[in-house]
Amino acid sequence: MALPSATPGTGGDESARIYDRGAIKRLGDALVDDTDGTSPVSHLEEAGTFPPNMRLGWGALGVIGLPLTQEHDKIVAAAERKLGDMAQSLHGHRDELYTASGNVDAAEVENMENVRRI
Amino acid sequence: MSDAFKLPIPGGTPSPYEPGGGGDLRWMQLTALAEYAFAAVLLPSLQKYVLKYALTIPADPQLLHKAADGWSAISSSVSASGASMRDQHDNVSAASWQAMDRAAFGEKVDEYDTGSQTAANSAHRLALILRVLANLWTAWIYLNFTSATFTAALALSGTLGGGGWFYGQWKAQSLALSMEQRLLVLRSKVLWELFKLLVACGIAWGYDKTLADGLK
Repeated sequence: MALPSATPGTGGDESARIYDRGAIKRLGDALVDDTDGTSPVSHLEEAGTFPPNMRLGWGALGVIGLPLTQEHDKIVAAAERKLGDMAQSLHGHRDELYTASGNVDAAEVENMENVRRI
Repeated sequence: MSDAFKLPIPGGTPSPYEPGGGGDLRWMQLTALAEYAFAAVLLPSLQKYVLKYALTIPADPQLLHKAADGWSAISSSVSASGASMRDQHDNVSAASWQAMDRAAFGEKVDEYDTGSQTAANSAHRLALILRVLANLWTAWIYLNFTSATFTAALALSGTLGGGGWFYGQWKAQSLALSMEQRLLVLRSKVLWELFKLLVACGIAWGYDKTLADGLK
């Protein structure tokens, strides 16, 4: 594996590395928090709040359109679940980024110990 | 709310963010049905119009607009969600994070972005279809209300005072058809409407298979 290259002019040991743990964590946070503008999760939650009022019920397209309204409402229910799953997956991605950042921390500690032993 | 074209409806179009709303054209549909029924009592050859119109109610274009507005909002939110995730990922410079796990995460971002754009496109198409249906159905309700009012007025004035050309035609048809023949006409009308119901089932099936891509 290639050695991590130093980035000149970024200042400090941490930011000079190719793995900026802070940046990775911040990316994870940005998926779910709104500190730096609307997050992907907030966009989804904004969309997910109104489906109960989008359902057509039985009387929107007459007797002849009943199959269509039924099908539409099934799609609304499915989309509601799907948006919930998408929001969950974003939370999952945030956790994965935290784990990735943690792995780098663990590897750093291990490396330091190896260097000290040598 | 959406600035899409909406045929004016008394009572406006309710917001999908609020419960309730709709039903403002119900009285117009019931009045039209009653007028057709009244005309059919005077002129039995008009029974088929009562049947035909009865099967298209209750319809509520306000609910269709409401659902269309909802899909339209979902479309932009889902699309913004995928795009903002991509931006956030791309904004982390290569100098901060450049490794295999970044590439793996990049694939997930691609997958999420593609999935959200597909879902957003489906939601946009549904919004468009519902919008067209809402406007067509509004026009249908207005058209039938006008037509039923004229029909009832003509049937009444004809019965009271001799009537004009339309009344003459309807009267002649009513006299020409026996009860059995009228029933046959109604039966063929019912069969035709059943066929349309089957077509609607087919469209619903297609709607589910082709238009819900990414939303399930």
